[in-house]
Amino acid sequence: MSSVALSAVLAVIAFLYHDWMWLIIDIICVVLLVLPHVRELGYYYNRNIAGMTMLAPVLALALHVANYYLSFEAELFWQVNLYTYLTSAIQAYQCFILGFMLAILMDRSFNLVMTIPWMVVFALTFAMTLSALDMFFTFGVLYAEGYPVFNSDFYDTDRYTNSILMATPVASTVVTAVLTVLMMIRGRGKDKDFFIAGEADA
Amino acid sequence: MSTKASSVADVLSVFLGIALMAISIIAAGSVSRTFFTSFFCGAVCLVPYLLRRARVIELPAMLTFVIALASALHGIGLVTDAYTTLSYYDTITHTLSSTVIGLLVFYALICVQHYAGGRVNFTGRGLALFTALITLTFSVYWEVMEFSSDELTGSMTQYSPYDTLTDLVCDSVGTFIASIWAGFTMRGRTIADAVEELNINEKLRRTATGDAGDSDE
Repeated sequence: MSSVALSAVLAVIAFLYHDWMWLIIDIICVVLLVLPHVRELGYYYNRNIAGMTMLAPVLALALHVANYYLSFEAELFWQVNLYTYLTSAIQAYQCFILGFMLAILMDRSFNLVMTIPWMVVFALTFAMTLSALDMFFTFGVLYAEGYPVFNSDFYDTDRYTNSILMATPVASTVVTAVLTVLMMIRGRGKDKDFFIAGEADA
Repeated sequence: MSTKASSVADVLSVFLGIALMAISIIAAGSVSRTFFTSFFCGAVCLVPYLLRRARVIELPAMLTFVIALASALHGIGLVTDAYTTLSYYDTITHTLSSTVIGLLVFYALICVQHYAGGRVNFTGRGLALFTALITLTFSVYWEVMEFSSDELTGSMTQYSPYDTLTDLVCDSVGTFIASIWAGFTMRGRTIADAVEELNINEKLRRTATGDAGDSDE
C-alpha cells in the first residue's frame, strides 16, 4: 500500500506540474499494484517487486531537491542539461519495472506464457515504447513554447531541439540495457513464481 | 505456399538487386558518398533468394518482394537524391521498412513458440502486442542511432523534431500494416503450418532448439 500511496502522490504532483508522461506512468503503476487486490487474481506481486516501484518516486524527489544544491541543470551533455537526462533515466527505470509487472500479469492471467528472459524482453520493449510516447509530449511542449521544430524553422546545422527531443529515448536506451542485463543475471535459475506471492503471503 | 509466387518474387528481387548494384557502380563517380550504402541495399535485395537457394530458410513470396522493394527504394533514394527532392519519399521508405521489420519479428516469434516446447505461448493478441512492441523498439533504436551519428560524426540524418516524429508515425503505420498482414496470413492456419512452410534448415533448427528439433505441436 505504501507503493500505491507514493505513486498516487507523485501522480498528483505530475498533474499539478502538467508533466503528462509522469502522470501516465504513475497511473499505470497504481493500476498494476491495485489490480491483483481488486480482481482477486489469487496472487500478488512480491515485496521485492512492489518495493522496486517505490524507488523511482523517491529518486525523482531526491533529484529535485539535489538539483537546488548541485545545479544539475547547469551541466550540459549533447546540448541538453544533466537534470533532464537523470529524470529521463528514472522514468525509464520505472517504465521497465512496470513492463515487467505487466509481463507477470499477462503470463499468470492472460495466457501470454513467457519465460523470465522473455518477460525481461517485454519490459525492455515496453519501456522503449513509452519513451517514444514521451517524444510526442516533448514535441508538443517544444511547439507550444515556440521552439524551432519544423525543417523550415532552421537556417543552419545547429538543430538543438533534436537533442531535447531525443533525451528521453537516449536515456531509456542506456538504462533499459543495463536493467536487462541485471534482470537476466538475477532471474537466472529462478522460477517465475519467485516474483509473486500467494494470498497467504500478501 | 505457391512455388510460382515464390519464383516470381525471387525473379523480381534479384532483378531489383542487380539493377541497383549496377546503377550504384555507374553513378559511383557522382554520388561516391552514398555508393557503398546503395550498393549494400542492392545486395540486401538478393538475400532472401540466396537464403532459399542455400536451403537456409524459405521466406514467403510477399515478404521476399517487400524486403527487396524496401531495400531498393532506399538505395534508389540515395543515388537519385529523392530523399531531398521528394518530400514524401522518406515517408514511403520508413513505412515499408517498418512493415518488413514487423513481419520478420512476427515470423521470428512464431518460430520461437513452435520450437520452445510449450515454454512460451505468444498466440492471439499477445502475439500482435509483442510484435508491435518489438518493432516500435527497433524504430526508437534507429532514431537514437541517427541522433548519435549526428552528434558524434557531424552528419545530418535528423533534420528536425517534426521529421523524427513523422518517421515514428510512419513506423507505427508500418507496424500496423504488418499486424494486419500477419493476421490475414494466419487465418485458417496454425503456427505449425506457418513455420513448416519456412522449411528452416535442419542444422539451424537443431541449433535453435538445442536438441533433435522437437516442436511443441
